[in-house]
Order: sequence, then C-alpha cells, then structure tokens
Amino acid sequence: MIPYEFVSARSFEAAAQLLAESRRGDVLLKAGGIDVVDRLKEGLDRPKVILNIRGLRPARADAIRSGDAGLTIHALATLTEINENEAVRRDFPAVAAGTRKPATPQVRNVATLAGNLCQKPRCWYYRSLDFRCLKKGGDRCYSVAGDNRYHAVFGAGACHIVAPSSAAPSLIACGAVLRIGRFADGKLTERTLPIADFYRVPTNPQDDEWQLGHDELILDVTLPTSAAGRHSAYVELKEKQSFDWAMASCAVNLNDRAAPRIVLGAVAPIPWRLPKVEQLIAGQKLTDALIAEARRAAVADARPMTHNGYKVTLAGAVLEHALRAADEGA
Amino acid sequence: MSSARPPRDPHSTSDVSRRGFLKGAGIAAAGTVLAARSALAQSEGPPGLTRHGPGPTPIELTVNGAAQRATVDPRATLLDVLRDQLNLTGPKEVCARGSCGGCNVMLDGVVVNSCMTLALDAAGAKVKTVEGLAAGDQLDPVQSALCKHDGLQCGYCTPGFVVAIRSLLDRNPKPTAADVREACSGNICRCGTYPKVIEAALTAAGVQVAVGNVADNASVCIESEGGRLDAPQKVTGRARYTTDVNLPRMAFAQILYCPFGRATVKSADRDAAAAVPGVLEVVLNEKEFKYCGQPCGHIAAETRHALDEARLRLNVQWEIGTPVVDPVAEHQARHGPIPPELKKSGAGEKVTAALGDARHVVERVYQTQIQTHACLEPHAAVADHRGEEGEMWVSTQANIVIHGEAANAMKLDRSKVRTHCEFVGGGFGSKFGIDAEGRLAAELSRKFSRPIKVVNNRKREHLDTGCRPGSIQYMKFAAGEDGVPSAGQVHVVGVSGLGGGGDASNPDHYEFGEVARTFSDLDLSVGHSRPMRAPGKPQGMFAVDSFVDELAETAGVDPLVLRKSIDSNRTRKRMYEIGAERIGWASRPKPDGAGTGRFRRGVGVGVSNWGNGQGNASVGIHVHRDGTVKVLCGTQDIGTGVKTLLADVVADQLKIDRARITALTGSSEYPPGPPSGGSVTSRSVAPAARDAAEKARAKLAELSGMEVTDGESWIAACRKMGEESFSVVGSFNKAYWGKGGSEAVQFAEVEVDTHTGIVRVTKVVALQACGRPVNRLTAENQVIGGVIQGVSYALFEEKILDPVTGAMLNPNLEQYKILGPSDCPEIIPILWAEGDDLGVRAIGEPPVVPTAGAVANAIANAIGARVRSLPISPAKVLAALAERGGVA
Ligand SMILES: Cc1cc2nc3c(=O)[nH]c(=O)nc-3n(C[C@H](O)[C@H](O)[C@H](O)COP(=O)(O)OP(=O)(O)OC[C@H]3O[C@@H](n4cnc5c(N)ncnc54)[C@H](O)[C@@H]3O)c2cc1C
Ligand code: SF4
Ligand code: FES
Ligand code: FES
Repeated sequence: MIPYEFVSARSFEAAAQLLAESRRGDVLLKAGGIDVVDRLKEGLDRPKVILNIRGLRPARADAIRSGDAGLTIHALATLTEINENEAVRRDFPAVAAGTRKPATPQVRNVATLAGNLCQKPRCWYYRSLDFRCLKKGGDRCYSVAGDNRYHAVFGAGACHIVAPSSAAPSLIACGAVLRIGRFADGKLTERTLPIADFYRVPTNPQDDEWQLGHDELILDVTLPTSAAGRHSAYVELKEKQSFDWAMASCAVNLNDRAAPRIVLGAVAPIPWRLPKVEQLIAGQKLTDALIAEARRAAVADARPMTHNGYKVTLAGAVLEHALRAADEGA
Repeated sequence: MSSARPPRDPHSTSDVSRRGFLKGAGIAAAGTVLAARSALAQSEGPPGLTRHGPGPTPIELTVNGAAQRATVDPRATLLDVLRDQLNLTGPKEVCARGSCGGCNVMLDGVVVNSCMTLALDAAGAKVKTVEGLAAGDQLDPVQSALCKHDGLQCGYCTPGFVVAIRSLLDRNPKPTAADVREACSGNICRCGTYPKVIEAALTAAGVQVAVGNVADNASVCIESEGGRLDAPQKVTGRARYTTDVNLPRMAFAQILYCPFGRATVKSADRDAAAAVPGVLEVVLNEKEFKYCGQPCGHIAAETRHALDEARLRLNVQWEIGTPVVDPVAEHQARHGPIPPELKKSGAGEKVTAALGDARHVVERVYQTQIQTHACLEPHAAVADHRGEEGEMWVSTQANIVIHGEAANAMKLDRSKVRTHCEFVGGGFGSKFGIDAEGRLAAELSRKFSRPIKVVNNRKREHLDTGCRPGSIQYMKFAAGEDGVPSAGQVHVVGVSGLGGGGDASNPDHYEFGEVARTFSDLDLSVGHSRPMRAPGKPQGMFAVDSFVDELAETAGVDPLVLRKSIDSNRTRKRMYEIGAERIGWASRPKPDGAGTGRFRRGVGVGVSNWGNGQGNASVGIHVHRDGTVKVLCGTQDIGTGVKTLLADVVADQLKIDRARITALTGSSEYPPGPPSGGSVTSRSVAPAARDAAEKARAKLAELSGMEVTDGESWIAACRKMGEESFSVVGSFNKAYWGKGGSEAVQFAEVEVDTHTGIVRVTKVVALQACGRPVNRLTAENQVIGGVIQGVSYALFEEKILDPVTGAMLNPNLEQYKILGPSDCPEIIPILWAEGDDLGVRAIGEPPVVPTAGAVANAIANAIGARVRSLPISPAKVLAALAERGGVA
C-alpha cells in the first residue's frame, strides 16, 4: 500500500464535511473495510486519506430499529446483525437470506450493509493490478476476448461486470428506501431514494453502477412495512457451497401478489429486475406452466458471452427456485 | 540495473513529510497542519475527526487480556501487529484477502479476519488470539478435542479453526454438525481435516460423536491410538513455522515476477521504488519473460510496508507478447493432430488389426486441468548469515536436501550451517529444495549482514512454485462382447510449464491388452510442474477409470463386474466386494441416469495402487537416567505425523509409556532422514526407529547388567546404569520392512442437481491397504485428507489462464476454489491390513488417486451423461445434460 492518512469520523456530519471539502479520489470512505482493504492491498486504490466511519457502528441493539415506516437498518449494521435480527427474519426473509448467504461468517461479522451495496465489482481483470481495463481508464474490456465465465449475460454495455452485492437484490425486491446524506449549507442534509432507482448502468464504465455523488454517503436503509410478510425469498447458486460468489441469484417478493417484485443477481452489471416476469405472474397462481413461461420470459433478452452460456440456464433455474420458495413462504 | 542503498536503521520511520502530504491531499478546510503530535491520536481540522498518520501512530489495545501499546503504520493490519510486533504468530497470513480464515481472531467477541482488519480499527478493542484460549497448560475444550480427534495435520490452518469454533460455541453451546460446518465455512484446510475438525467441535460442545470412523476390517492391528504428538503445540499456536520466525534486525525481500505468459518490461520507475524509505535494494531484469510467474527481480526492504510500497511505486509496465496457453492448438502446431497416426508396425500394427475386427470400439478424449499445490504455508525462508556461520529456516519437505543447498547459497562449509524446519505448513511435493526464496534469502543475508525473510505472497505461490500438470488423454480400445479390452491406442498430452514433466499414468492398474502408447509434453507459458501428491496418477486414473466405465456402458455390463475381470490384483478384488456393500452399489441407478426428479443420486468407483519405495533414514535415541527417551530424526513432519510415528514405534518396541518419549524432527543437527516424497517417510523411518530402539535396549542391558523386557525393567535399568545418558543411532533394518503395495479402491456417491448442474459428493468409502497402521488416527487422517483433495480436484480446482495474455486469473484462495467444510462428503476410511506384517506401507499418496475417477463415474451414473474434463463444474454438467437432450 501507498501511505495514507487515516481519519476517523465521529459523526456522519463530520464525515460528510470532509468528503465535501476534498477532491474526488483523494479520500476513500471506509466502513467495515473488507472491500477497501482488498483494493488497497492490490494497489487499485491509492487514496491520500482513508475516511473511516467504522466507528459509527451503532450498538447491536440499535442497528435495526422498527418505526412507522418500517424497519430501518443503520448503514453500518453488519450483515450478521441483519440476518440474525428477529424482525428481519420474520418479515423480510429474503433480506435475511441476502445477508446470510454472502461471503464467510468472519466477513459478515465486519461487512456493513452500505459497504456491501457500494462494493466494487469482482471482475478478475478489474481486481488485478496487471490489467488496465475500461473500468480503470484503459482502452478495452479484457473479458470480451478473455475468460468471461463469471461475467454478465444481461444488460452489459462496454463493461461486462456482474453486480457483486448479495444484499441488493432482496432489498430491491422488498422495496427498500435509502437515506443519503451530504454536507451542504453548513450541515448534513438528506435525501431519500428507493433502492430500485439506485443502480444504473453508467454510460462511462469508469463510473460506479450506483447513483451517489462523491460527497454523499448512505445513512440508513428502510424496509417498508408494506413489503413485509412471509412470502419473500432469496436464492443463490454457487459452484462451491462453503463460501463462493454466486453464479446467479434471485430475490422474489410475493407478499403483494398483485405487484410481485423479482430481481436477479450476479448476471448483469446491476441487480437485474424482471418487469416482464413481474407482469406475467401478477395476480396469478404459480402453476408449473406459468413458472416455465416465466423462465422463458426471464431469459428472452439474455446475451451470453463466449464462456458464460450456462448462466442463462442458471438464471432460469434460480428464478424458478426463488419463485417457489417465496410462494411457499418462510 | 540495481539501485542499492546502504542499510538503514530498521527503526527509522517514514520520512514522508506530513506537511507535504496534507498539501497534496487537497483538503481545503482540513488542511490546517498541526506540527508535533501528542502520543495518542487527537482531533483537529473539521470537528468530529480524529487523524492518524501517514507515519507511525501509537495505539492501545487489549490482547488476550493484557493491555498493549504499539506504534503502528496506518497501513498495518491487525494481523501484522499481532505477528510482527507482539510476536503472536498463532494467527497465520495465508491468503491475506479474507478467503481462508487462517488469520482468525476475536475482536470484541466476534470472529474476524485479522488480515482484513486495519490495526487502527482495533485500537481500544479487545482482541483474543489462539494463544489466549488456553489457561496455562489447561487447553480450551476445543483445543483438547482437536487433539483427541486428530483434527489437524500440518496444523497451519488449525489456529483459525480453533478461533472459529470457539466463537461458535460461545454463541451456540450445543451446535449441530451443520452449524459447525457453517461456522467454519470461511476456513480452508489444504490437508483436508474437516471431518475430524467437525467431530472435535461437537465433542467440545459435549455432543455425542463417534471418535473417528470405525474401520471394520477385522484384521486391522493398531499399535497406538494415542493422539498426535505435536497436536498441543499446533492447537495453541505455539508451533513455530518458518513464516513465524522473527529475528532482531531482520529485513524482508520479495521476488518480482512477470504476470503474463510472455512479456518484456516496457518501463519501470526504479528510482521511485528505491526512494521508498527503508528499501535496501531493487533489482529488475529486462529480457523476454516466457511464462506467467517467471521471476524478474526482487525488492529488499527493512519493513514489509516498504517492500509493498516499493512494489507499487516500481510500477512495471509490460509489453505483452503472445503466450502459449491453448494445448490443443499447440499440439496441432508442434505434433500434429490428436491422436497421432498408429505406426504400421509393432504394437501399432496389432492395435490397428484388433480395432478392425472388434465387437466394440470405444474412443474417448479426457482432459484435466492444472492444479496448484496451494500449501497454506507458502514457500518461505529466513536466512541468517553471521559471517563465519549461518542458519536457515526453510518451509521444506526435504530438510536433508536443503542443508547442502543452504550451505552453497550462503557460501559456507556445511558444518558451519544449521537448517531448521520443525513445523511445515504442507508441501504436497512442491517443497524439495530451498528454491528461489531460500536462495534469495541466503544471498541477501550474506550481502547485507542481517537476517532476511522471504515469504511468498499467495499470488506468487500459485504462479510459480509448482503445479500438477494438466493433460489431454486420448483412448481408443477394441473390446469384446463383455467389454473386456483387447488392444488399443493411448496418447497422452502433458500440459505443463517449461521443462515438461506432464506425463499421466495411463494406462494403469487394469489389463488393457496390447497398447500402442505415445506421449507428448507441451510447455505452456505457465509455471513449471513439480511432483504433486502422487504425480501423474490422479489425472491418469481419472481418464482410465472413466474409460473403464464407458467400456462397461458400451457393452451393457456392470462396471464393477468388468473391473473384476480386468483387475488381477487380489487385494483390490476383495476391496471391491466390501466397498460395494458399504456404498450401496446394488441400489445404484440402472441404467445410468435412470432416476427421476431434480436431484439424482449416483455411485461410482475408482482405484489405485502404490509401489513401496525406500528412503535413507537413521534415527538417533538419547536415553536418560530418569528413563525418558529422546528420539531424533532429521526428516521433517509436513503433517503426516512422523514425530508421532517415531514415538509410537519406539514405545512399542521398548514397551514403555509414550509419555516418556520426546520425538523431534526438522533439524540438520539430527541423524539424516529422508525427504517426504514418494510416500517413503513413514515406511523408511519406522524400521530405523525400531532398529535404534533395539540398539538402545541392548546397550542399556549392557550398561546396567539387567535384562530389559518391559517398561518397568526399562526404568529400573536406567536408574542402575552408570552413565547420565547414552546415545545410539539406528538405521534401516530389513526385518521391519513392509512388503507389498498400497492398493486403494474408492466408492463415491453423489447427488446432482439437474436444474443447476451443481454436484454434491455425499459419501466416499475409501479402502486403503496400509501394511500395519502405526497410529490409527494419523493414518485415517491421511486417507481422509487424500479423498478431500481428490474431491476438490474433481469438482473445483483449476489454474485459470487468460486466453489472451496468459495471466493466471485466479491467483488467490477466493477464485482458486478449494473444497471447504460445507462441500465435504462423509468419508469412511477403511484401513486394510493383512497378516502380521510389521512393516508400514505408503499411504501418503495413494488415497488421492482414485477419487476423481470415482466421482466422475458417480456423476455419469446419476445423470446418464458424462463430463470428460476436470474440474466437473456446473457449467460442464449442464452442457453434458443438454447434449444428452436434457433430463428425463
Ligand atoms: C472471501 C469473500 C467472499 C465474499 N463473498 C461475497 C458474496 O458472496 N456476496 C457479497 O455480496 N459480498 C461478498 N464479499 C464482499 C463483502 O461482502 C463486501 O466487501 C463487504 O460487504 C463490504 O462491506 P464493508 O463494510 O466492509 O465495506 P468497505 O470495504 O468499507 O466499503 C466498500 C465500499 O463502499 C463504500 N461505502 C462504505 N460505506 C458507505 C456508506 N455509508 N455510504 C456510501 N458508500 C459507502 C466505500 O467507500 C467503499 O468503496 C466477499 C468478500 C470476501 C472477502
Ligand atoms: S468487465 Fe468491466 S471491469 Fe471487467 S475487464 Fe471488462 S471493463 Fe474491466
Ligand atoms: S489470511 Fe486472512 S483470511 Fe486468509
Ligand atoms: S492441517 Fe489444515 S492446512 Fe494442513
């Protein structure tokens, strides 16, 4: 690593102020640090300052609060705290699974929700210092002529990453709303954004796949009561069962049968919502025939690369498994 | 080309000026620079911020109950501070990226990867390491259960498991096996000890479990069921491996390497690298590099941070050439198509004739991947050249070899050089010399007159410390009505790095009749191959056992029936019977793929055998007046349990209590013992130990004038002898030599998810001939470990090369996938002993051989479609199913 100054914030406001007063790229925000330390070790990021907000982690009891709007999860709640929370398990089984399946117990004890949502992609060309690809300001995407077995089969532009976050699909399926803060007019100001609108494939591959100014940070995430119920599920398919990245995943929320929400993970540069499938099954009973049709509809616009055709099959399979699991209920 | 700087005081700190640093940071309002800083961090700039660094900064934390102060670089991880500053070397740096659990510690009561935790994040926190779990000699129940169940081999991963399990039991005192698997799912053990670890965790929780898997072969004779001798050191983190050696004034060096299959250096910023404070030397060669991982220079520095910073500042830019990565294309270009044409004479002619009028002709091509050894302890060396004499610590499986190499590298007489490898974190065939790491450490230690430590990072470890070569294996045989082959062609293509060595043992073990065999070795642009646990065999037997099943399928006969008619080995013929019964062969789907539903069960079989070689061994015994015995052998214990074996054999021969015996290995000061290769260590050391024990008994009788027959007379005689102590050396003695081979048969049961292609190996019955198992626990552990590596090879592991640049794309433990606890089948080891043979037979290597073939056959049995290429990934299973026309 290149030397950096380590600055710990004692409040979101202080953190936001430092971000506001610094140039993009100079300061790297760090929560649990699982992703940040990985990038620092590889030498991908060489910030002048690490802005540490890990110290803002609330006490375990305060990490998740229940209120009028629903369940509010602190940005720095760890994945473990979320998936062990009674209310989350009961009312948002998809979110419980989306924070229990990823990574390892040790990682989940440290990884925060906001960090999970804003982690950088795991494309192996991106993660290696040896390749200066489009996303790092280079002139090509190495995955196209290279080995793309784990790359995107949907929605890719010039860059073919898959969205890495395991938590995101179920948060989208459960209609979560982000509270985002920045320092303006001498204080922390806030805006809210449905997480369904948070992820966008950027025109410039160097930009992030999410909508956040360089001076903004996520404060918390609210799961609305309207989306609560037994009928949500999240399923991941992995090559290896003892920690692995998903080859394909799917979150489904059927609590409102008239307006189901279905999101695939690990198959596109962003969590991949399936509006056509949602329309297809809205208000319907999930018969085998309907599920088969849903599978076909889901992958109709898939565009596999040279090594990842199998992921199209998996996308259909994981959709079916998640649909059935949500239908049955937790 | 080398920019050297004079050695500097190791304790000097970074001279990056804080002022210049902050100015560059462009933090407007925060840019007020404070001059001197108080001892502890303080707030400045915008309110609500606490600043540290960039230079060293003091922290306080509680470690294992004691308050500690340390001055840390803000870049330091908690692991760095524990290992390098507090000398707590129980937690290990294995992957350094959060993927293996080797560095597990508890931070404020929860288990975390200390390699991914910055030290500053632990400021003020309570840290508990493996060293803090035992109270004095009183082991934590998790630790004693691991000793009891032998939940460890080399022990390098063990501290990480101990902490993970302790943390589980703190939260959940009565876990199920599934809970344990889940809690350990972020831990990797390369030796494959998971089943024993899980048993141990349940025992520690007071949940009833059977100890070990019961070997139900009545003729098994066991000398000792005592635990592994050095287990207590391993479970407490006290065992010191080469990577744990810290010496005063020690500096560090790292080998630089070319990351692409073929490349030349376009540019590099040597000055910037050399200017990093603490850097001793930067050397970068310029020529065309021909494989991914080829060394191209090195950096030496006083701290690991400086080393790492210099690597980044060096900023080597490469001109990438065209690597050789496609074996099929390379074969075509160099040797023509696969297969080559059969010769018109000799075997070729006979085979052509047989193929012409055969009842069945079966023609198949199998492919295997490149596997890396991935020892959890990377190649590592510490050299301390002190002018007249020198000392080296090397992570090696050939202490006897490295002693001479160390002396040469240090340019000292052998008698002036001592070498050590008391604990070794796995070798698997990749550690037979001091290697590039040892040579560099020796050279730099001589040059800079200070100890030098060279420890590979995980990437270099994957790239260039050896591998099991890949292969393409073409087989075409003529067979009769009953599937029995009469003649055929085999062409093996070895897929390895420069220097070749890629042959696979095909055909092997079965009678195939007349075989026209050819072999061509391809040098790809990858790190060279090295022997890896049963070199040539797992890849060969994957193809051979798959092919036998395909012959059986073609002829419509049961694969076990066919095996019995083409396998003349008497032991295996009996193993087939017992194994088939234990796995439930009779209920396997018939024909292949006959099951229904999403999940399909299948059963398959594979075989091996192992010749029994002999290594040169001598064993020294010191006998003391108090009746205690020290047994010394200059071999090394890479996890197989040689120390335990020495103690067990001597105890058995002298009929004394094992508690009286201390056994030591891993030093050039002990009588020479064999390298750990070819599975000869135990079988060569055991006869020498018996011989030494007999000599000790004779000598004691002579000195004491008493007859020494058992433990009691032993002690009485020791008291009576005139001397304080005496020594004897035993050597190879034919009377104790094990005869016969080490046959193995394995049956695997799998469950295939036909929706996703995901395969779970649910059970493996592993029958293993072993002569006389000296210690049941360690012997079973070897078999279990072999099976686990075999399953890992069959399903997951693969060195993935970029087709364009030849770079290894998964040089880590995250995408280089090694089987973990949740993927581990139930394994039933059956130690097969025959007669009253006192000898020990080879069991280190044979159990890794049959597994991939057995698994592949079980998958084919389950789904009625065959994957002929390793690893058998979901993608390949889905492709095979699609080719068959989907599932019924
Ligand atoms: C072996 C291994 C396996 C893994 N497997 C999985 C997996 O299967 N699925 C999965 O989802 N993840 C997986 N991960 C990744 C891991 O879950 C993420 O790295 C982790 O969740 C990141 O959280 P963090 O708090 O450590 O983030 P940090 O590393 O601290 O930050 C990550 C990014 O988020 C930004 N950030 C952090 N907090 C905020 C905030 N409040 N507002 C705005 N931006 C913020 C940071 O600036 C940074 O760029 C794995 C990691 C490892 C090591
Ligand atoms: S997929 Fe994106 S991140 Fe990966 S190599 Fe291509 S451009 Fe880079
Ligand atoms: S060394 Fe920390 S997880 Fe592997
Ligand atoms: S005992 Fe686990 S890696 Fe060797």
